[in-house]
Amino acid sequence: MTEEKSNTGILDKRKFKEIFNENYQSLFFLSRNYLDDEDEAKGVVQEAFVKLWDIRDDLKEDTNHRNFLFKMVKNNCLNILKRRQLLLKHHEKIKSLELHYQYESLNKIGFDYLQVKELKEKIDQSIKNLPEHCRIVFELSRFEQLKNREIAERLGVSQKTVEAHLTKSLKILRSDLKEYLPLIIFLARLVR
Amino acid sequence: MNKLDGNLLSKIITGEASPAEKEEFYNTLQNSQEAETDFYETKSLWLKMGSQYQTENVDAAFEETWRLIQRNNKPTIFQMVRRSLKYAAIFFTILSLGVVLGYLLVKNTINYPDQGIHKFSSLKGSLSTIELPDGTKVWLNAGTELTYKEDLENKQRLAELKGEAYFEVKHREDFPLLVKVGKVTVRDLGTTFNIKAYSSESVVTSLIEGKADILSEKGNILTALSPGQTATYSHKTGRIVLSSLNESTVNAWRNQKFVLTDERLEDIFKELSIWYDVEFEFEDEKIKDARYSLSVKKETSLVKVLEMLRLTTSFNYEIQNKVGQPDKITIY
Repeated sequence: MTEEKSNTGILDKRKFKEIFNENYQSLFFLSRNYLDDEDEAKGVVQEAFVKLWDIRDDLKEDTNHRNFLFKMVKNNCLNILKRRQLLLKHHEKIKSLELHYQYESLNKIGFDYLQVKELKEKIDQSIKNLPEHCRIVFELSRFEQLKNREIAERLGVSQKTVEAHLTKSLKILRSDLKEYLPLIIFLARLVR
Repeated sequence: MNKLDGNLLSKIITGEASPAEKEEFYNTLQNSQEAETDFYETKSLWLKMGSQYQTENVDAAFEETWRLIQRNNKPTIFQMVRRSLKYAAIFFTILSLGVVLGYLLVKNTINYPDQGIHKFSSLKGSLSTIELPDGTKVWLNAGTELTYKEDLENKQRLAELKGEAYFEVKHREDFPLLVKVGKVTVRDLGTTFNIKAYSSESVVTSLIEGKADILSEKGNILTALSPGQTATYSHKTGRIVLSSLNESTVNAWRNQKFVLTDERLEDIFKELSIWYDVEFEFEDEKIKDARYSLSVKKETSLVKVLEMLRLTTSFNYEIQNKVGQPDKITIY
């Protein structure tokens, strides 16, 4: 409840900074993951914050700033992906398929993406519970953003091993955290 | 193959897949709903888990964004003032060439930026060019008012026009520009167009490039314009008459010329009154409906224009000078 409240109400610089600190990281992470271009990703996120500030007086009292930012970033990323897909040459079929599925996967991500803090504890717990080798590989890949090759070098194992650990980690985490992914399952059924 | 290979999935998610693996993966998704769901779920989980991990310098990012906000707000006003000064310069150059033009004033009224509604107007006897916050370029003919607002909730740009304006729209597929003029709305679909709505009787929309729809008050499409077409909407009948566009007419006013082709004398005078800031009165109602064509430079003096019109027709006029308000010209 308190958190919902902190995301609404009148916006002054202090509050704006608070919202920025709370959400910048996650939004940048999302747009960088999809756009695969640091500068473009940063631009999209900055644009959202600039917009929020510009129209702050037009916003209704109960507008959720966090959701507004998420929507702006998500929509702009979707547009960029769509544009990239349109610009592809006729023969780049795989690239086009890839963009299509990236687009769809982003499209299915909801506001709960930014509310992940509530389940951070649960995620941390699940990661801690992973078999040790899996956990080490997973943390290096996910949090230090190392390439599989780099992880293999660092741990002195083969790339195949790294891949296997990652696959296993993802599988365990998914079944562990299944209850926190209801939205996606629901949407996929609807499509069917 | 319907089941996703877990190893392949994790390679895709972590960005380690080769082109051949990508091909295999995405082909599988095409053929299997289950695989698709697997992919979406895992990707979403992967993102959620990573988003919590702080590696960026958020303070520096904030400072950068804040600077951007401050820079964004200032230059816009500055640019507009500069732009209008530039316009003034062009005008005074014309003046210095020996052309006497009364009631000349170039001014943009700017309400900016807090409430999100931007208001622009050009005074009688002057033209203005403006650039809307979205990059759309607009030429405002004399005595024109334009308001502009971005409606983020419904994802549209809303403008309202009184007078005449020429738009070069910065098109955005997901964020259409709607220009409300009296009872109709023109919706841009990637466009350059001219809207003329000085008289309360009609709205004349000419499409130079792209596509545009004309919508009724209820939002129904009345007509879809193609380039080269002019749609004249009559407020009285609520109907639209299509004709082919006369490009020289549309471009003329921006090039500081009056080009009126086969128009009613009353409408011609209406335009003259806006440019020269005078009032007209007809003593003989019948003259109003006589039709004329006129092509003169805007720096031509009003008396000269009147003389030209009088040469080809049979009216007389009388100019009454008034202090502190527009001169009155009586046609008889």
